[in-house]
Amino acid sequence: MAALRLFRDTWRWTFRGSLRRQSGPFARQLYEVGNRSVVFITVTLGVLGMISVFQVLIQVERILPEFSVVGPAFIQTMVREFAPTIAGLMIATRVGSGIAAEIGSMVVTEQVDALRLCNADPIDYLVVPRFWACVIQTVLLSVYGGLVGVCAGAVVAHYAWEIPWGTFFSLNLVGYSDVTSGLWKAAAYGMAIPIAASQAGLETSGGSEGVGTATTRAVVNASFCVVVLDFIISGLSFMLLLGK
Amino acid sequence: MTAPILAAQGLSKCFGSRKVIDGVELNASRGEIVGIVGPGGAGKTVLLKLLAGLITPDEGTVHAFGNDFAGLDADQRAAVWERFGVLFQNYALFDFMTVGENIGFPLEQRRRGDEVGKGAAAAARSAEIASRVAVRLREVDLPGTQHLYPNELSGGMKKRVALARATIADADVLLYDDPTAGLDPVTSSKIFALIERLHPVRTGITVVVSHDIDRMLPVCQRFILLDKGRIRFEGDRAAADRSTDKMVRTFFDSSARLSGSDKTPIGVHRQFSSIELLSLKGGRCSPPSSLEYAPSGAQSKQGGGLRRKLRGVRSISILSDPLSEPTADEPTADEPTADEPTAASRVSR
Repeated sequence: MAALRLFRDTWRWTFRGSLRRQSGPFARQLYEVGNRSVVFITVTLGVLGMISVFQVLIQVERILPEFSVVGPAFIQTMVREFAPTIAGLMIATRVGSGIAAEIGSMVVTEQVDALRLCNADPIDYLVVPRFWACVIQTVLLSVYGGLVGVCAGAVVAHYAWEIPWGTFFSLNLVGYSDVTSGLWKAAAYGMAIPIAASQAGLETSGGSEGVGTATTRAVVNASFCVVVLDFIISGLSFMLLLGK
Repeated sequence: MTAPILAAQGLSKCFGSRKVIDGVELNASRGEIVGIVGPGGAGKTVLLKLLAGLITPDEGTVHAFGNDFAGLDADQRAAVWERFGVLFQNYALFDFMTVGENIGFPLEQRRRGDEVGKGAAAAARSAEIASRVAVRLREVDLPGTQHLYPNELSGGMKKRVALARATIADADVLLYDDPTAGLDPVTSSKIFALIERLHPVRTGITVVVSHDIDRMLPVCQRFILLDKGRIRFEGDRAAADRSTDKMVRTFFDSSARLSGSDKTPIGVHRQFSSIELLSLKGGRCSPPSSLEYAPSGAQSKQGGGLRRKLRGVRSISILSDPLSEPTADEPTADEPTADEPTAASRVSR
């Protein structure tokens, strides 16, 4: 319930012009969440793309030595599932822990109290810039991560199994619903991660031990949100988009 | 008697099963400087936060300027907080802002409230804020540090920046939580002088929580001694001296001796009394194998040196009469002797 209230208040502060006032912190968060996650996402999704294609090709080769659909199927899975969800999980660990630790430290060092006494709402100052930076960068990083994963998989397919580039990069199986589903997931994760992390941070109590607990809780809650949202959005997109 | 600016009735606050504040009543009227003292863990910081409306009491009420914090909505509370300035125990400087931005933040927030907007008026207001920040920084002996970040400052500098931020908006209620903790005696004296000078005599009140009773004595008009969340004593210095409560007397006297003074020399008998207190406090200061004789006419610096030597002491036996006046034969601070002192004192672990 507290997280839902925080989500509601975040939107309320956004409509009150919080982003315009917090343009500096917002830009800094865009950099923190996005630019500083690029290497992490590149390595994770690149390796995942290579391993996935390698494993799939081994199985396909054993059953049916016909590789023409591997590329398109892999791209479809990457767009619909892997790219947003793996990127989301990575952002939940890297960014979620950072947000919780930062806000939690501010709570235990009384900075949040000082903000309130200066008539600055902590949600306006701390949560809104992180929330929107996370939403934007999770979507962008998911798209980027998907491209990296597909390219890494294509390299394995081409050099290990001699699948032509053109065959692998076919977009035959990728439809509008796949792209929409992937983007919705990325946006939803981008909203859930900073809310779960900020909530954990704002509820911090005690000293450094409390910050550690908050960080752990943020990562667990944010990752759990990603998994649950993946399930819900996958189900909804299947019923609403793919089912038609 | 004027109506109290800050009034607390029947305040109680629990954290878990521990009652940190228990039935505290407190009124502070216009022009008063109230000092809150007490042993560590007595609930001083929690009481200060309750008075600031940052913590909601489990029982009781806090009225600021006649408004009950519990009955205020966010906007009303914000209006009341505009008249508050708080120096937090842990400085509470915003890491992501420079010193100048930190100090000017309360004024910037007011500007946002006034909706000055953009253009010439806003630029003039920004210039005014920058000028006030520069003036206040000079007053706390930190001129030209506007561009630094808090992580580039020492503890004492942070404290002074926090003091500057708490007072820059000319608040009517100034709450200081341990303003001199960890500071050297010279800076501590300056901080208390500044607290006295910035006190809103005609419009408001100042509440100081500190262990530095020596420096509080000339500044505060009224003292509250908290013990285990309850008010053990309330009154001025004279009332504390008259009190028959041993804790009150010991606390005020001993603390004053312990912390030393820049003006008053500390004699041998005072040093011994300090040693007694240190041992009573359960060995927070600490043990050399033997204790050097406390010099007569020692200044506060020697007192500090002695305390450093005592770091880790678990118990101390004073063999001589601790309250006897020093004799002319006793060694002086400038001439410490290693041989003679053990006759007068022994320290055991």
